[in-house]
Amino acid sequence: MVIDFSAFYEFPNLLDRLAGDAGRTLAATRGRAQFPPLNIGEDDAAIRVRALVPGVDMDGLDITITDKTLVLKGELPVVRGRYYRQERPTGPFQRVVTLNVPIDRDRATATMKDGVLEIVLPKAQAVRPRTVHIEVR
Amino acid sequence: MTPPDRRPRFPHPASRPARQNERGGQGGPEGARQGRFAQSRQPPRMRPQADLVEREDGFHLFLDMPGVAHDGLVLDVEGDELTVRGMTRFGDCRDMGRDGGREATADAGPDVKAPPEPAPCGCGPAGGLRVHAMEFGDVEYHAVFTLSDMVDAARISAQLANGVLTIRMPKREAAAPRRITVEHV
Repeated sequence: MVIDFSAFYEFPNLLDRLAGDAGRTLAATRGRAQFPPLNIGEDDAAIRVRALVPGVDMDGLDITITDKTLVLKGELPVVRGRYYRQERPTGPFQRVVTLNVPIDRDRATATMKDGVLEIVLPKAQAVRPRTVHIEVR
Repeated sequence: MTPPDRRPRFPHPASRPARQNERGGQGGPEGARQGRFAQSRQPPRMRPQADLVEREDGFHLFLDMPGVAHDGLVLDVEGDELTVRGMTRFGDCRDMGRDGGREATADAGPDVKAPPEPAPCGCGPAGGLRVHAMEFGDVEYHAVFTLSDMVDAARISAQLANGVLTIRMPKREAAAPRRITVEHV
């Protein structure tokens, strides 16, 4: 079981970056423990989260959005047979992404292609940037 | 999570792992790993994680290759070597990797003095998408496996589903156990 509360706006990562090499061993061990790996991006309209989840289909994934977090849960199936080599991870996994902006939960979408999960979380209208013209008198 | 070491002791369909970083990664393996998203346009080459199991009908090889589409995958059998190659097309900006800039300047050494090439995508401060976390990027999966004599190379089949490549390697007929009936004279 891997529980990991890192990822979005994660303060320890910023410390790692500041500390330079000091964080590298930590990052190396952490990189192994984190499953699935995530790419998190943001544009004006939405937050886009992509995860590498090979071997999991959409039915085996549980994606939950709360006010502050996106939780990605699932389980990697165990291959049946007599093992000669086992490198692929198995078992349940969970990752929590902390969201710092309100999300329009009803319009969130998730798609899966070639083992890559893409979650698009549209930002709530209230927080999108708007241009307001102020009349100067 | 993964058992400590269950490398194949015997039947070697997969006993020879591909050399990692065949493209001459600079620095130690750790440095190459952390900075690899930023070092060149050519995606880094890595060996996909593999499971090899034996069942009654033969050996099954499972390779995690997320992001590889059907047409980006090539399998070759040449003699007793099975080569798997796959390219990912995430389209993400590699220059925006979490450690990218720092690693490139710290580790790259004198051979990478060229000015950074402009990002092929629209990311970056001026572009639309701002990257907050980047834990994977485009890679070229590459693996070479040596087939054992027990495998019937002519009947190897493969399928790709959900980012997992499954290669089925049936055993040769002769290798199936056979009981010899003793005839009465």
